[in-house]
Amino acid sequence: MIMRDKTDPLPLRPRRLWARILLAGPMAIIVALTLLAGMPLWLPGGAAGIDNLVFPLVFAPLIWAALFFHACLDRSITRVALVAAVLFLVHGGLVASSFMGKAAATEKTR
Amino acid sequence: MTTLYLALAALVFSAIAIVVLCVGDPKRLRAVGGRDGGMASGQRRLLIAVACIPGFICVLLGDAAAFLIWLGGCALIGWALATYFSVLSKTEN
Amino acid sequence: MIHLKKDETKAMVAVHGWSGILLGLLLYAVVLTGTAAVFAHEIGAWSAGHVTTTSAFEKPIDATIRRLSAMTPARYREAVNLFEIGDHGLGVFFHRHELDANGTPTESGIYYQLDNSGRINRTLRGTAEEVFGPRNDDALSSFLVDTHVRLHVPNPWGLLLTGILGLAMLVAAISGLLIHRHLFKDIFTLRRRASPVLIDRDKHSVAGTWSLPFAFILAFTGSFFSFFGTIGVPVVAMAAFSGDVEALSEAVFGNPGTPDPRPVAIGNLDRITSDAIRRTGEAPTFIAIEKFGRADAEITSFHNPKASDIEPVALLYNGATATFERAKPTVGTRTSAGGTLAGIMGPLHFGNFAGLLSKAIWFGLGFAMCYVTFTGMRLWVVRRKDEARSLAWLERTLTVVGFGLPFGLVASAAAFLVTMPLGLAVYWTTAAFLIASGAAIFTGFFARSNDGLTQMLTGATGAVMIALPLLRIFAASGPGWTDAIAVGQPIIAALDIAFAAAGIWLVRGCWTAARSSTRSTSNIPVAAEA
Repeated sequence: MIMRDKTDPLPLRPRRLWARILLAGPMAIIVALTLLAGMPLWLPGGAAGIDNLVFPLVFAPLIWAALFFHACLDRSITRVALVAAVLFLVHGGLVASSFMGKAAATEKTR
Repeated sequence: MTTLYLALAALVFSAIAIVVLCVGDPKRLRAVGGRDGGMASGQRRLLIAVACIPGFICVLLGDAAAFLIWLGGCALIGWALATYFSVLSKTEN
Repeated sequence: MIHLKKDETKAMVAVHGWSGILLGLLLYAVVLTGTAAVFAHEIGAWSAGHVTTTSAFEKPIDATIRRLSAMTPARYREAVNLFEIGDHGLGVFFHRHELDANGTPTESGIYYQLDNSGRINRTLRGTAEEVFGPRNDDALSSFLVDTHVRLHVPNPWGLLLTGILGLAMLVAAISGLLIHRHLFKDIFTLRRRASPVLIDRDKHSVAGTWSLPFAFILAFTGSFFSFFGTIGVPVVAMAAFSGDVEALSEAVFGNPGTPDPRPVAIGNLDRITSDAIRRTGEAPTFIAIEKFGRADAEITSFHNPKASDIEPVALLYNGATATFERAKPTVGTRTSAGGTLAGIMGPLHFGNFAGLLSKAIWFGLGFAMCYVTFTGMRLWVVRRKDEARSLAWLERTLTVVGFGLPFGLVASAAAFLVTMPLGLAVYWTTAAFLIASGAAIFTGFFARSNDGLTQMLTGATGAVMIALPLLRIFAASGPGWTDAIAVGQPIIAALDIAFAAAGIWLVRGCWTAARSSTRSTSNIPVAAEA
């Protein structure tokens, strides 16, 4: 079994550096936008039925910042990519299924 | 008016603690070539806690406006004190 | 304070440094104008010589609105917004909600600008983006706010730009917290006898540490405001309402009820304003009338926050009967966590929740953040100056922007005061800023040294500031101190004193610096002979 040395430096070899820049840059933006679109579909509405709309709108900058700093600081790029991918797929899937559901409902009404 | 008085009272109380902290700050004293030592760390922690008490009172009273004025005011007081003592040490030297 | 590993700290230093140096100059411009814009209302009153202190809503408005309604085509009588403009005059915007050519929701209608006697000064037709531009009497405060909100870049690009700058500031604040190991130990230490790098580092970190919570709050709320309409609303509307932004707006801001489009004359607005003033103790800041002229008309009166609170107050009235229905949150139909969160974003960013005291604190914090931004960039340059001579141009650029921008702003204020009586303030406020900025850049090219450049720009700024009260009184025919205080506008005298005092301090500092550098230069031949 290979034990990871906890004092391994942050992966900064050129290819890994570019991967980290990609994850902290464009990918963080894309995942944040996907979260912004997907979170209203599962967050509770709250007392006035608007929390699911307002919370993503208000916290969008912090969501992006969390993704950015995670990409910068997590020692494992694989983990960074995995977290981003899971968030993207889950929320993207929610949005896609919401659209498909609405399209099917429109078809039925016709 | 109550918010105004509460905020000002909170600021005055915390300002006293911040002044004492600044005067006895060990690193500041070393930087101006003063005596070694300064305030003990236990004393400093106590003073920090004392400086924060007015903020907690504002929160407990539910006065968000007073709390924000207190927090911002403390920041400005702290910065102003650091600058003042720095200029003072420069003039003395 | 937070102990990262060495390589993590190195990464954060790189993030902190590069985010600061790449976007720092623009960020500095946004933060500086934002600092000034905290007092936009007071600057407006000072510069235009506003002497009326009775709110437009404390006088009868019902007859005026009915008169204007009769003049307005029916297609624009879907909704009406009422707000104060100028010297407690009234702005009335009759409009309809529609989609523009790009499919973006907008408001289109007729905007009447009335003076404090109820006379129509001006009538403008068009969309909200077209009609709500600067006026002659508020050109200075509009210029400040517009520079801060979008750097005068057309929407949506201007808002996106300032949003990105807000995110950069957020990144700088968080990374700064992460890299500073001894946050509290260093909090009072400003070394004077040390290398220039350490001196700049101390200046930057002490100011940054004290203002850190507010840097975070202001960056976060600022980027929220910039991205809210440009990206946030369209994305959330697309996902939750199939792209229907109106439906999203109705869900968040609307009032549920059974539609009743029967035509019914609007209720007595004076009854509503006096009731609202009685309930809250002060005049409304804004009145929104939806479904004007219908049985289901709704009138919402917005007010400053109650004492001890920071969220604004909103009172809902039945538009047809002018009867009070309920106090509602500014966001949402009932009090909720999301509504409160959205409702406090404005007060947290503008600092206008407790009158002049909270504004003064926010002004001070804004100044601290300008200082942090400027010293941070200086630190980056000074650290590398010895290695790369080519960075001397960056040091000059920093000085031109850092000291030239305040010079440009006071020059625009001076131009406003001179040209407002001539009706040319809208053009000359901006033009003067550009001319002064050009002069600062020109001086930057030809100044002998960076210190000399700093002294020239500081001295020029101080000189203009000293002139401002005189220009206000003699060129703009503004009220004297006794007149201003007598009508309850002491802010006019206060700002005169503030400008004069700041100007004298700057000129004196510049003079002292110039004398000490002359003395040290004249000592060099003596030392050489010795």
